[in-house]
Amino acid sequence: MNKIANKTVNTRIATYFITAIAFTVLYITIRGNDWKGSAELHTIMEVIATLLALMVASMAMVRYYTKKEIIFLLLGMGFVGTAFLDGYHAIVTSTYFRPFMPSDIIKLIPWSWVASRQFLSIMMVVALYAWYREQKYGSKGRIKEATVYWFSGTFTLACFIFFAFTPLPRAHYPEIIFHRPEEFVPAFFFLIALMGFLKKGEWKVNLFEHWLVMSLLIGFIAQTVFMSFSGELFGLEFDIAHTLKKVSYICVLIGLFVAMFSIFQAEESSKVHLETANKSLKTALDSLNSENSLRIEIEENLRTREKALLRSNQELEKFAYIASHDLQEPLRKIQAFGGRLAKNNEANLDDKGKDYLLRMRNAAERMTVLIGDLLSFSRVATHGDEFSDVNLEEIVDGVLSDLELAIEESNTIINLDPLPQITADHIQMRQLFQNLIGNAIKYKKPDAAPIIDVNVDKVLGMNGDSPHSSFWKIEVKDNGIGFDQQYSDKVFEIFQRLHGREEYKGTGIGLAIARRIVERHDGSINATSVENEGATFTVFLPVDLKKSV
Amino acid sequence: MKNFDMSSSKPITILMADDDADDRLLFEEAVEEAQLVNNVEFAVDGIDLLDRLRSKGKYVDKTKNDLPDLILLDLNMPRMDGREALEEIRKDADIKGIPVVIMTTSEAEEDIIKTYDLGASGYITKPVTFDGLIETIQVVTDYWVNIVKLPKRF
Repeated sequence: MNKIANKTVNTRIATYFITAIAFTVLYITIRGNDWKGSAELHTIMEVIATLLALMVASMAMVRYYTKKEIIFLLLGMGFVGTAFLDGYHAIVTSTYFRPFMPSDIIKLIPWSWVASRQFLSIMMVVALYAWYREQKYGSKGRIKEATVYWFSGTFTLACFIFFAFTPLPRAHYPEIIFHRPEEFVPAFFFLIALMGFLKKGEWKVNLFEHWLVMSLLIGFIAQTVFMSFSGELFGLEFDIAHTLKKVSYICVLIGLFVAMFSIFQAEESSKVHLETANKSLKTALDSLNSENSLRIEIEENLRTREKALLRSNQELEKFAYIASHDLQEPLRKIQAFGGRLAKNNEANLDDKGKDYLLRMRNAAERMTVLIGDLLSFSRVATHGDEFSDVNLEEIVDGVLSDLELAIEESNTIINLDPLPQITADHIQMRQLFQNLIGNAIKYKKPDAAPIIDVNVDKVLGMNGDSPHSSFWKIEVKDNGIGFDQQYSDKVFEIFQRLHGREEYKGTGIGLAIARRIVERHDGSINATSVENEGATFTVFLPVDLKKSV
Repeated sequence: MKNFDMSSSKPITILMADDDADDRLLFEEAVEEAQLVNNVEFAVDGIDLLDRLRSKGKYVDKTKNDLPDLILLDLNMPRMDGREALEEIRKDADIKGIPVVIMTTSEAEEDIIKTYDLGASGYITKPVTFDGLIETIQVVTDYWVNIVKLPKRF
């Protein structure tokens, strides 16, 4: 992209140099040639110049009124004035009007020529100045339209009147090298405009400004190289200068055409772009719509499944509750009648019968405990209390006083960290710590007093799925018999026991309940252990759990 | 076990409404051992209970004098459950003065609240052991028949 731009810039610079050098060389080669035109040729050339200037003017004005860029207004009005002045110049210097003018043709032609050139060159400088002001002051610096009209109108009219009524001084100075030094005044303005537009730099990227620069360059050359040396009317330099003036007009005209062409082209391509964009937008929209409906479908599916899952979960909880509740009823009868049998009829039984009865009653007893545990397990979710402020310090104190007898009997030592205040289900917290501390005492080594450490720490999110950012990490560590690390998940499963009933009492529900309680509080629990060295149960409970409403 | 006064002049009748035959048998035996109640009657559901209290159906030969001193009422029964039966009893001017103690396996809070709202005199869960049942019968009967002063019904 940059390379291409650079190439264009280089080509344009080359064009400017070649143009300047070519005309200088041209002048050197033709110098001294005594070819001579005529007043009629001059009139025709000026008429053509007038028409060209009018064309440039109208195109520039059209351009100005479509895009309101101040440079086109000044250019347009510059060429309107120039057209009038050129036309005036053509008319007053024609053979028909010459008798009515106060000055001789030898003075009138050069001076009215200069007037047109002067006006155009000034307008070019003003155009540059207007651009500069806008650049510096924004829209505040904008030259008013009316000012432009007023200035060009006045200047043109003043010229008309001036030439019509004022006798002119001489225009030719054969005694100096430049026969028409007055030509240097517009040449100077053209030069300023040329330098200005070159410095502005737009010519590098803007084709119109490139042609404007060409026009200014040619205008400048016409003034300096040719017209200033013109020693006589209708001479070679004179006619070349006139031709170059028209070429400079044509350059602007080309620039305007190119600009207009590029506007149409841009419009066309932007239309194509717009259509393509519209099409791809429509395609995108279609696919988005279909994606959206797919997403909605999936979401609905998901919601349905979630509901079904929730329902089946609730049904399961209810089932567990009702089942365990209703199982109690016949069991109660077994125990009651077993008791009646033992009390009233034991004498009639032989030893074997007595043993059977005892085993039956023991089994019924165990089943009562199992059902009770199952009931409390299902109650964790279905019959949980609301979450409120719970002081874990008080909870653990309560647990320790419940376990007082067991602690004393086993000479247990308990080291407690200060425990935090959390939001939780009060009863379930009590149950949780009862299970954890109770287990630590229960699974002690036969030959050593239990030592239990309760460590508390505050940690940041333990896993990515949790909506909570920080957690209380509460460790219950013992020096008991422990278990093989491979069972670290199994210990939390309901009715899973690692030891025989005769060794350690229990149904294998305590840790299952513990896990359920912790999970109901959006937390987690895990266990690590080395066999015969002790076990550590770690509970994570969210710091920022919301109270129930 | 407390030593209850058996010398009270009036014989005590308890009516137990329960659809469970096992419970009725256990209750009967427990009452026997409690040695406090002279007479135990049974109804198998709410309708049977109301028929007995209103001397209807197979109970036509019963008179007002035969009304029980205390009703022990199970909640979950076929045909008419304990809640409906209790509601009927409390609406019937002739029998609404009889104390009705709910004796059920349900520990549900809503059952406790509901039955007290309907006018239950007390609410106890069925004791798990036979000895517990005997003690319950003694305590409840003693309280509602001997200790509490109730309005005169006759």
